[in-house]
Amino acid sequence: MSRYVYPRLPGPIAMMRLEEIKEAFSLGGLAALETLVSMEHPRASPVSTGGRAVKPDHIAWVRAGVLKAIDSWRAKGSAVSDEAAFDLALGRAIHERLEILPADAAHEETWSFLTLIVFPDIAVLRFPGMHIDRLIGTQRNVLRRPWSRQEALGDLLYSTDHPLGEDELTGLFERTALARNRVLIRKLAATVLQYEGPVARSEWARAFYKRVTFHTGPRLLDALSENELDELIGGALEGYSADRGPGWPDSGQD
Amino acid sequence: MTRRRLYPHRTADIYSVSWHNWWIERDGERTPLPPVLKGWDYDSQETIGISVDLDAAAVLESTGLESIDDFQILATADCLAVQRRFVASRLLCEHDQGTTIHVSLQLPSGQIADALRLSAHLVLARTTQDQGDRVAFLHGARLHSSEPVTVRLEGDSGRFPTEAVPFSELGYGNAPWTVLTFYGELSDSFLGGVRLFINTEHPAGRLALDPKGAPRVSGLLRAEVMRLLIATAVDHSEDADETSFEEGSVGQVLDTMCQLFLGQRLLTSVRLYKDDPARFEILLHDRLDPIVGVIA
Repeated sequence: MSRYVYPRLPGPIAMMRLEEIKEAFSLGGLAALETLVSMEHPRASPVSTGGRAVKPDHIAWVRAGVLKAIDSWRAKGSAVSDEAAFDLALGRAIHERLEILPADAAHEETWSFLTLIVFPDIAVLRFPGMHIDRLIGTQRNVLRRPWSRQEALGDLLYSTDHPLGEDELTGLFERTALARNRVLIRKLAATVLQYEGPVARSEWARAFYKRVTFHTGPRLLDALSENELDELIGGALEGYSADRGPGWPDSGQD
Repeated sequence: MTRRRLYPHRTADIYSVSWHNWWIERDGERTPLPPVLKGWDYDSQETIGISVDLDAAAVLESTGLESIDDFQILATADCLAVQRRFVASRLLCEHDQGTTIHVSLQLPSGQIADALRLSAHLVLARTTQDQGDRVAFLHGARLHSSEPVTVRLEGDSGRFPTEAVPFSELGYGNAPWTVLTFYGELSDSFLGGVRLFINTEHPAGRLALDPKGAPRVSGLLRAEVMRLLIATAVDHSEDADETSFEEGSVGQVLDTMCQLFLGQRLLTSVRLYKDDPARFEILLHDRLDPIVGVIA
């Protein structure tokens, strides 16, 4: 399947647009932001290094799908206190509909366009504080972060009724060298999802990630087959730290 | 300077492995991989690779392993921008001893962006019995690694991320330039987290953008950029470990700039800026001589 490249909004224009969004929100709330929504911008254009340039009607279709997926939060007018579920729904919908080339999704200006031009209302619904790194297309961007998680973990994110929480996901992705091994990151996520011990899962996950990370010093885990990764993870789960009691993966520091 | 890591197992003698330069194969012809990949776009599928010669006797002697068949070469292309690592492997049991080993790595179209960090590694090819004497026995045990190299894919190699813009559009007044930072952590990407904006409406800004005029203001610009970058790093530096910054991260780039322009590490520079701003300014002027172009 041929994937799309999206218009990119240059940094200075994104900064101006951000100010415009802040002003509109202060005057008219989320409803005012809906009036700013557009599928194109005169200063935004797709990169000319290959890929299929997306058309405005496809962008409108993307927006419609995303709005449907997060309809309940829009009706409430807030995603506060339910951020994890909101991000999951947003990530799934935007990943499914964007069909964006991963190379294009690696660029800040692409996400600035999507956030500030196509989804300003949704961005502010999720982050009403409008912090710059949530609205400009950085790695922490409101759309980019859930898209990236969906890209790396796929349906694992919804495979249980107790999906990965923000701390568990952050812990996984902040170890960027580990996370760039896509097979490994999926196995780590699956292991955390299966945990049913007595310790709070997010705390347990933190210790577990640390234990696996410990192996990346002397060993290059990219050499390992899936079965060997399973064995490595199994080894990380064996043994219990004496000072923490049962349920904890060994810290690997002893 | 080569950075040496200490491992719990014995590694190959540093001179027992000769990593050659990375190459690219197009139309059946291999040529040295340039720092910036020309003719690449999102539709391109590329084959790159690295060649290596081993002194088998020296490798076995230093690692304590018994057969060269126990080794494997891994070539990795790490793409920070798309958060994905591509790997190719060559088992030495499938290789004629005494000849150069070539490892090819396929780079799929549309899956990479910005830059790749390339490295190659000699590792143990399978898990064996622990023989003691610190001999490696776990599959993937690192025995020798090449120096990492970076190849730029999109033609922005080594340039500070800069945008020329009329400041009246941004409401930034009459400043000739400014630096905006968007990063949350020093581990974030530098290219994604820092931008130098140059005011096309200011005469000094226009000079900075003009190759002929730039030398007159480049010292001033560099000093002000350094000051602004260090000022913005103050809030992020408390928990920073400058030995662990990844290539291309804000921390790594700032640390390199501090060493290059100020002759000291990032965290030392940040502390000086915070604790003794006057001394920081003296250092800045001493090292960068920012106004020399103005009075020349």
